[in-house]
Amino acid sequence: MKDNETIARIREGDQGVTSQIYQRYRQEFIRWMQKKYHCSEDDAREMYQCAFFAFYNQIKSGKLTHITASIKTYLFGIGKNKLHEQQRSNVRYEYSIDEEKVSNYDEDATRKQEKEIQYRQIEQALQQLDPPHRQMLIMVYYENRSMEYIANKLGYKNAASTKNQKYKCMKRIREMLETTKKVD
Amino acid sequence: MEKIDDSTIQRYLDEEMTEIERLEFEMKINESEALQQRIADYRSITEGIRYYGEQENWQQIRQLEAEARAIEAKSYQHPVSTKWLLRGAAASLVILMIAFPVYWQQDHQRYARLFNEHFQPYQALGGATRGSSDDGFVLPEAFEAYYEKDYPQAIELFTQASTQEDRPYVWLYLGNAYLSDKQPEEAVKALKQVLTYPDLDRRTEQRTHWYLGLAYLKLNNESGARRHFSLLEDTEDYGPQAQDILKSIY
Repeated sequence: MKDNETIARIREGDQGVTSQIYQRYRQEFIRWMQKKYHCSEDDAREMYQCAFFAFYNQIKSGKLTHITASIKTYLFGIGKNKLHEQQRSNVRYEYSIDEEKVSNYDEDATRKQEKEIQYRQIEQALQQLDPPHRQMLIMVYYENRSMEYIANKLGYKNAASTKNQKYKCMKRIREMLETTKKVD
Repeated sequence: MEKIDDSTIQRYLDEEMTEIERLEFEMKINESEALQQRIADYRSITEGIRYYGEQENWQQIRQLEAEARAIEAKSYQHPVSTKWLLRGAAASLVILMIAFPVYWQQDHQRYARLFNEHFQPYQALGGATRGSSDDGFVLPEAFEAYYEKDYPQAIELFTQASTQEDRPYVWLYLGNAYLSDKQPEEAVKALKQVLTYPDLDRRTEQRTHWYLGLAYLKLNNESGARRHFSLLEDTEDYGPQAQDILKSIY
């Protein structure tokens, strides 16, 4: 199977292909990270999970549909970037001891925490929707699928009725969140 | 003020308006704080859905990793049949007396191996909530310590946070910190607290059973582990791993 075909299969949710690709490059990636960047085995494994997640996420969200290099090159490239990113953020963290930076850091932390709570509330609201409705919202906003595609996959009459259903689901989530806010 | 229905807001956010409609709508937005708030709410929901999608994928990757580790472990594994021990027991009480502690030890080793293969401290995709605030609210510091793998510190801070923030996830993180710090008994106590929340969402409930099962494995408590993994057998997120463990401890 060619790499771009593999990507298309992963986007369509083919678990077998996803698992195969995950296994195929794992050992080599871990050895490569250990040898080239002197990572521990645990760190290299973690890095592979992060790199594969980024790769998988790009595919599932429709941001990556074609590559010119091989999957292996692409995946290893992400791993390298992730490692550098992590090293840079560690350095930033070590040097952020002057007051201004610490204060920004705290604001940032509070915002992150608020977001985390908000996301949990949205997750809870999504859990209360029927699975097909939840699936539809994920297909619209996360997978960036067209209404025609969703109508076809989820058995709606047409794109217009899918869109109408999407409006209703979004409204319902907003109402659920409003209720949560009032209770809190 | 003209009432604006939700579908109009969504059409605006989905960029489905004509240029004229959009400009008119943006004028209304500028005039109304309530409308600005409604738009912000919908934007947050959209972000939340994306985050949820990413979380689902992250769980999938974690599962793939667990499968990869199980395959690795199998290639190193040398299964010891209990048949020989049973034959030995029948043949001689003396052999049984020697063999039983060995067998018992093997069970413990098997549980320890399963725990090591499957346990990874829970990590929400949002990553660490770092830093500390001035008002004595310790949760950010607790996350900071947790993601820095300073588990003793994380335990102390999450314990404090549990008195400030009445949320199930605080206990979930505390339980994980205890497990990572090799204190499974304390982990069980903390994780059981998660299940006391009546409006617990399904995913958190499953996660909690997963980590409770692992904590019991660590305690060599087969029936406890079995009880929690059995609840996960048919779940999408943990099913294959739970089934794998249940087969191994049977």
